[in-house]
Amino acid sequence: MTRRDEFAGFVAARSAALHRAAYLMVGDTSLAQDLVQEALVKTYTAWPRLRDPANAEAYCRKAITTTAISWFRRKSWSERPTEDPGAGDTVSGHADQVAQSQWLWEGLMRLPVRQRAAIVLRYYEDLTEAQTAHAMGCAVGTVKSQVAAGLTKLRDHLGHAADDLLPLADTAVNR
Amino acid sequence: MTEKLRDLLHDRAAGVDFAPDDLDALVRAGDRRVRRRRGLAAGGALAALAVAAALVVPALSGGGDAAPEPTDNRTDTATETLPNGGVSWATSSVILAGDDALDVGHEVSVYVATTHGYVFADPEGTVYSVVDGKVDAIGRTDESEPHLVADDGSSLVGWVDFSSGPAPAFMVFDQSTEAEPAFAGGETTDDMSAAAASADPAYFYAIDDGTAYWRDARGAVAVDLETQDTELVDPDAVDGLDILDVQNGVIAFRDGKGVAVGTTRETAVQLPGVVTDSGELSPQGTAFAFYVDVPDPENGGHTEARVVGVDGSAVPLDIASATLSFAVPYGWLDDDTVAVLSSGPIEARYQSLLGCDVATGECEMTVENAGAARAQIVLPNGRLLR
Repeated sequence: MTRRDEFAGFVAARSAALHRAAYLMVGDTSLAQDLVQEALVKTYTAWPRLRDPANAEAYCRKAITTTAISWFRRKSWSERPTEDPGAGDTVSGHADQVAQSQWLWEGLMRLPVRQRAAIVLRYYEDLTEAQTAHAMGCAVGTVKSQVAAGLTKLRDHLGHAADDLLPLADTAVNR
Repeated sequence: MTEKLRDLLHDRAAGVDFAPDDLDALVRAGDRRVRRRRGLAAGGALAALAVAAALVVPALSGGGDAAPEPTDNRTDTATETLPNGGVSWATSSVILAGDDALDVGHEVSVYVATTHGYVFADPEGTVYSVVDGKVDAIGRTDESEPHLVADDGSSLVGWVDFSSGPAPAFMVFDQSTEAEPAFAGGETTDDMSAAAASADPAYFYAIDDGTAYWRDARGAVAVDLETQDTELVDPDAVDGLDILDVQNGVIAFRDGKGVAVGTTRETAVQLPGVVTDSGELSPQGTAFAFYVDVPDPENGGHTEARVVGVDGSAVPLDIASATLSFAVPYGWLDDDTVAVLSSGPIEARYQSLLGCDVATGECEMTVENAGAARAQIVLPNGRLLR
């Protein structure tokens, strides 16, 4: 099997999942697509030294995460998100699932990119703290602090609805 | 509770459709990248051979006599042209880029690369322009503290002329035109010095997107080179080390506490743990690369390359360190790739140029052999490598 064939198999098997995770990190379909394309090119370039498809997925996920963080660093320099101080006060009226999902999404998109990436990797990708640290290129302690800070901000954003939706930071499963 | 968060994330992600991947395009892009890297690595080896040839051929052609002195002609015509826009370095009178090497006929003390060619200064302080293999003397700068600045992605180069008049003059040269270098403005006095660390220097900090940043009698100023509109950036700037770099409007300020980045000194954000008097901002101004000496009294220590995002996050680079090794950032190849000169371990035969991806921290050789380990070379950042 050639390198191209192996890579084609990897793309066919994992591309959709990688796109979905990238979308949760950046909140924009086109940006997610660009992010995954860039990560896949990097993965193809590194293919000879990855050998195992599991390594390829970890490499690609790391490329997506760190590239997203890098892109948003640039964006945040000139376009810092503005705070909406009243956002957390109005959530109690939105009880149904669609509204909850929308509020959670808006809260997630307001997080700094590193906190958002940590939450996506931990609660969507279901990675361990060590795997999340590898994907983000940081220490496990940083993952813990980023997740805790992100959940706290989401809790503030969601107000009362957070009790039903979010794990308590100190009871999150530590693996 | 955790399940609800998971479910909501999965629902959100599942509701989005993505266009299918263009596998051929991915593979073509990947192959291009592999070829480029291999080409650059091979270029280092070929370039080293070219250096040897450049040094050997004049001696042979002279029939055993000493190599001819560089001519005093205003224009020297070199035998080859050099590619622009890639990795380059210089040693002696040879600039090497990709697979090519060009003997410019004068020792290169400092140089910069532009979109159109190269500009260098020799040990006598003469500034030369190199375009399409043609070497022209275009100006003068201080011979003991030569310093050139370039505007990334353009043809503009700047320096300070200390010899053409009673007071230093800030000069700008557009390499894309046939025009002579132009006096760019500034307020200077005849006792101003050239050295960055000296008291009251006339010092060119940077050119960024057509705006020149320098230190003159007013402090640090930003001068729009088109309109001559001038903004006082820092009236308290006392030397050439108060501003380390400017990219994309982002300024790296230095003071007694370290380095802070931002558009003004008042609003600049301190970079944690960054204490240095030199460094390179990435093209978009999102990260700062610098080096630190890591002491080790017993074994001799080493020098490490470090990158910090403007949000303060450290970006680890995968460069092996060893006793007495050094890794020094000297620029950025693009906004994701910092360029590093690396000596390797003490037993290494060659020093190498690396391109380190700040997204993954991985480094690849762009030039495997940039001369013997710890040999003096010149890199395209316009400064003396100390």
